[in-house]
Amino acid sequence: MNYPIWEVPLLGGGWVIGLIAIVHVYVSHFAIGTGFFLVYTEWKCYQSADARILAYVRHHSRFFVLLSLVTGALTGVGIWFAIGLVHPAATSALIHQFVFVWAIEWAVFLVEIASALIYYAAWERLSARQHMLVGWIYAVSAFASMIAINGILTFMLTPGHWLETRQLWDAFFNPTNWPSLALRFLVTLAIAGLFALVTAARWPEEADRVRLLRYAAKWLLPAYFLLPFLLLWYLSQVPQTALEALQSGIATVGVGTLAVLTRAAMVSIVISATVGLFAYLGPYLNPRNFSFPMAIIFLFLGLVVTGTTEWSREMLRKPYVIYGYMYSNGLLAGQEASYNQQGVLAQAKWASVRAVTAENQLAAGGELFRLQCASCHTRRGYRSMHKVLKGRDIDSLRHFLNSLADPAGPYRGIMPRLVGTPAEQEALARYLLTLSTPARTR
Amino acid sequence: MPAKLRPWLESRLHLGALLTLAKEKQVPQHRQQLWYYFGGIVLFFFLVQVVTGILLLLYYSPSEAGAHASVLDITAKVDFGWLIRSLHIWGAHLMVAAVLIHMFSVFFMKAYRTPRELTWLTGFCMLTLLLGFGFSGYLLPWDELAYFATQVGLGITESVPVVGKFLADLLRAGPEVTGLTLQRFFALHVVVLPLVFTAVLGLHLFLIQLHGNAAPPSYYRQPVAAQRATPFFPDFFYNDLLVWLVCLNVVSFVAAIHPWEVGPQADTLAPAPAGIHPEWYFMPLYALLKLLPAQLGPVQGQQLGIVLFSLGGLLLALVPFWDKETPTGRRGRLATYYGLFVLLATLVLTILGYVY
Repeated sequence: MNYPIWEVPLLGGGWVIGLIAIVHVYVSHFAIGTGFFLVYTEWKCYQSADARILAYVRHHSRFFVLLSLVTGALTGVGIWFAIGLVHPAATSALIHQFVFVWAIEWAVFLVEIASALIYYAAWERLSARQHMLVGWIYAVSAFASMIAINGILTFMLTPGHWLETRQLWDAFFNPTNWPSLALRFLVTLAIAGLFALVTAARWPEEADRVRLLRYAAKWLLPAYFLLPFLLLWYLSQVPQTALEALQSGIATVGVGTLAVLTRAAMVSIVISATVGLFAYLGPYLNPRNFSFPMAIIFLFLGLVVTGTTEWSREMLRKPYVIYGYMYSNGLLAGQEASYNQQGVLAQAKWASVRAVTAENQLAAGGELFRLQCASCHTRRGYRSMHKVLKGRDIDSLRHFLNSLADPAGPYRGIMPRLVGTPAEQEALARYLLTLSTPARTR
Repeated sequence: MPAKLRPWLESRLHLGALLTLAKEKQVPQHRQQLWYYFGGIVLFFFLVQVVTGILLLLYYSPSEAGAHASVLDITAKVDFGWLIRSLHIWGAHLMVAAVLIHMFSVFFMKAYRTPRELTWLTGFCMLTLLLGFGFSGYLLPWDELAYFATQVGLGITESVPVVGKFLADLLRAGPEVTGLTLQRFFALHVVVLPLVFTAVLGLHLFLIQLHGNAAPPSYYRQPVAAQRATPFFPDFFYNDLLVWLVCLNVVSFVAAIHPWEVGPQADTLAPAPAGIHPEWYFMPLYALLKLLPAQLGPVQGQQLGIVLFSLGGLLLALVPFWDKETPTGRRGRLATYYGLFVLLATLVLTILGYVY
């Protein structure tokens, strides 16, 4: 309402955030897990006086700094741009709530970057003890950065008592914070193992390569065995209404009417399981023949798991962007009566049409589509309105919009409640008719 | 394996001999080794087709009255029916893609050379059988798209000179696509083609075991001491399993995220809907026939197209017999150029088919 709408044709704004965020999540988890991987492996090398594996750790630290700092920084900034453009209202709400948390995160991030650079550049200049200390500073600061971001992300799904108290600590230490943190930490270790396989697969000395591949594969073990339990803990903290979409899918999983959320969750579970099997059959059981292309395929599987899992997590939050507070189209929950009485257009500061008249009905409908639908749907691309509404006539569209406006309607829990005056609803129906039918049949 | 079971099995099945055979088998190690995996990928998708096909058979009803309803039931009522059906259809598409990649990689590695001519021919035979699977399976849901696409396909078959009408009538069981056509396609899809395919596949695999994996000519130009190889078991076998896992992920992903829909039931009296076209693997032939004018002098355009396409395929199938070695001991380049031409023509015609 307070910001202009950035409509992305075909792809939709959500995917602009999604594509950047999936890569960022993957690389940032790699960066966090690899902090522990490097410093722990370095410590093991000193303990066993293994100079050959230490040479690998040094080599891997270069790969780590290049990948995490360059890709992490690019996608991190990219996310800020994307969320600011696609969802300014939610971004504003989060900044207002978590300004100090973000300040802490940025301070920690500075320590993280500085220590990562020193860790990579000072292998010769620092003593073993000092170098490891820098490594631990990096690992801990990277983990602290994850604590901050995890608190904000989990708040969006489970704001918990914050909805009543509006207190920072209630927002931050929300119900899914701890299980999510534990889940993410194990995932960081697994992803560190996946990336280590890439550099290990190219290590020239065969005997060392075999040892390294087996060692890197073991970093996937904790996640492989513990994630199912942590996932159950996490789901036990998710609001029942949010779980309904998933549970209705599971209840009907056999008969094919299951929600796309459930199908994505299934894919995530299947691929996660095969990643574990892959690690066992490939680098662990057959390291001599585990090649670089195999490691890349393995890495790609990890990216697919990250993508589907993060997408499922985002979908759990529907129809909200901040659960119980702000709908995914930026309208505030609990303000429906005000939108219905005063109108949506009258309150939208950047709308090109401020009231519906007989002359501007289609233009007003288009504006209402942008305000209430375009955050999730495109006209003819991703979640295409043309496809969803195909063949509907005006009466059918009116009926459909009425059911969306009904607080007890069938779409509650999946879509934001439709708001606006009767004239706005009619304008939206008229506009949607242009999408549902070819021009000649209207 | 329990201590007592092993000798029991050994004395009856001679598993030790099989294991020794597997360990003795060597896979040439070179830069193009990646392409070897596609043979295994085809085998994997074939197994997926067998398993999911048998499961679909438990509920499918091959009659004009029951086919569409039974597919709807499989998709909406039978436990995991939607997933099995989706895996079957996506598996078929991926299998055709894997066969094409396998065929072209074998072609460009010149792996059809003596003594592997029969291996190549059995492989080519499997490709045509696979297209037969695709064509016959497409009609089985008896929905609008399947019905009219089959009509188009049988219309093309009818244009084949001399035997076209006989073949089309044989497949259709009459002049029109009816419930009898459905029964014939069903029999082809679940009995005739699987029997023939399994036999040819068995022969193909036997020939591969007999002659071993072929390597590209550059491999054999190296001194024998430099010709490295990987033991098939366990080294290559484990990698094969990894590739199968990736394939399982790919087919599960597409089947779950994009489950195959069922169209409205076929109405034999209704006009064909706009935009009917065959599956992508028939698109090159379809596009060629559409691009040719109806009449070219005394010859019908469609007939000429079919003759050209058949001759092209025949030339490809018989490549081991006309691609002779040059006086320098190298294989002639003509076959390579021909393979490139076929590949390019296939791609261009497929794109043209979708664009126009």
